[in-house]
Amino acid sequence: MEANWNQLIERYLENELSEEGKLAFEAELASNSELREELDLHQTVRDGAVRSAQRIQLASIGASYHRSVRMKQAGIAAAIVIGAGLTTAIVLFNGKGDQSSPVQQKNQISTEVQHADASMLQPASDSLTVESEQDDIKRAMTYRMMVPQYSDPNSFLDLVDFEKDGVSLQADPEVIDPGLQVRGNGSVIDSEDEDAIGERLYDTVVKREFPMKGMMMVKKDGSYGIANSKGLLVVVPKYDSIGKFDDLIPCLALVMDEKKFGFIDRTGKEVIPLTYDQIVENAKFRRRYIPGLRGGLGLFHRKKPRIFYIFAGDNTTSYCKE
Amino acid sequence: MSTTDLNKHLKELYKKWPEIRRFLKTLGCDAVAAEDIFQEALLIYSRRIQSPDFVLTVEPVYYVRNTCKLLWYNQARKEQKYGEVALEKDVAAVDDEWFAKEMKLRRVEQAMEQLGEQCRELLQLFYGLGWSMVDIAKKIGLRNDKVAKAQKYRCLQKTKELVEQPVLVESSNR
Repeated sequence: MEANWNQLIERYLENELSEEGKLAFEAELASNSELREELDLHQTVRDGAVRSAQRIQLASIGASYHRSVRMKQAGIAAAIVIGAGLTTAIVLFNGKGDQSSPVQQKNQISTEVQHADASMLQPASDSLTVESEQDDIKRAMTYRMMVPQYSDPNSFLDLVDFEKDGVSLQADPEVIDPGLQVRGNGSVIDSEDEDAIGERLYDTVVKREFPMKGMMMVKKDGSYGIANSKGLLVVVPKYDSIGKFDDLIPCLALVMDEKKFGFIDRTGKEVIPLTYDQIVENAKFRRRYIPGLRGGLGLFHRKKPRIFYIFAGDNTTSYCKE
Repeated sequence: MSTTDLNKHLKELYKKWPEIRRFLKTLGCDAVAAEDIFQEALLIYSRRIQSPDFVLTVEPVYYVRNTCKLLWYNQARKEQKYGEVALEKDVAAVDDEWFAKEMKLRRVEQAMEQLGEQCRELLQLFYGLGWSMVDIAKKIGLRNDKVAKAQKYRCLQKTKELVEQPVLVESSNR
């Protein structure tokens, strides 16, 4: 009988009963205290299920927070020992990189960028993904050989309009002449008049001279972007976090959005698309280890993390392209 | 508050974690337990602000902080670390009824932990995320929505039985 109650209660709560059924159920409810208790318990279980889904959501917010903290601390996870099966992949990628790299290689070095996926041990189910990942690797390798050398960052003004929700975020270079300054609150003012209230382009200027010299990190609607020193947007604010340029890969900056990592170049182009759950640099080469790295605790709900591995080299022979 | 807004808000609140961690540390709570407590408190907070009759009278972060304190005292008392801790006034200010209800639901969650992965996911998707039975059947690998629905009844029944188990009832009376 009880199992029947269970189904009846659920159908009653889901409003699946017929009009008569509903009335009969409510009449029974009025007279049967056991049923009332059962209904109460049933409702509690349903609420519990809702809560447990909310908990998962919260855990993922927590995981996202910890990732962005890690990124701020330089964005490097500790080296992970990769299975022997990947050695072939290294050799393969290395060989390909040598041929396709358009740069001079005076002191050829051991520069390897390699991608590994936790699912790599399983047969690749989606050949398209694998292909695009190999493209990512090749692109990263090209950059890996470069030396950052920038001209005046203010010359990067010829970027097209950015739009977000139909509103242009790009300041008009005609309106903002080079004599203007950007205040901490994101408003652009005439440098001579301290009290003037300027046009508010961003919510805040998060950090100046970051992620590279002559640029500033700005925040709008909870997302981060990059503007040059004149306040003109170079990278539209859409990321949860932005790392420093040249930190992991020369000429590129690590970015994160919706818990996925990728790399952008100075024009905001996503050279390595934001599809990776983790970027791992081999600490053996760079000897950088971030002590804040957390694990365990059951906070991270992640199935099949996609990891982008970078094996660092030293000598570089080319320059960032303008 | 829409889900997106709520998530944004929670994201902002989560940035207070270092502060809360230090605070819990002064109460003798270790880092691992502290984050669990923090998440639990955020969960309670996020559910509370969504209930229609609730008016938040303090800054969100203080609400979370107080809830953390209360949760930690509860836990510490259970673990006999503190013996009888007299709750301070500001802790008691967190509304009791709601808190008790949340703790009851937490036990349901604990019971759900004992369910199989499939059952848990089914209940979470259906009640938590409002998925249709057709989608759920596809997602968790059941033949069709009818099978999924039958499975839902079984899962509910199983959870109820687990919730009513003596151990869980006993801890609820504490």
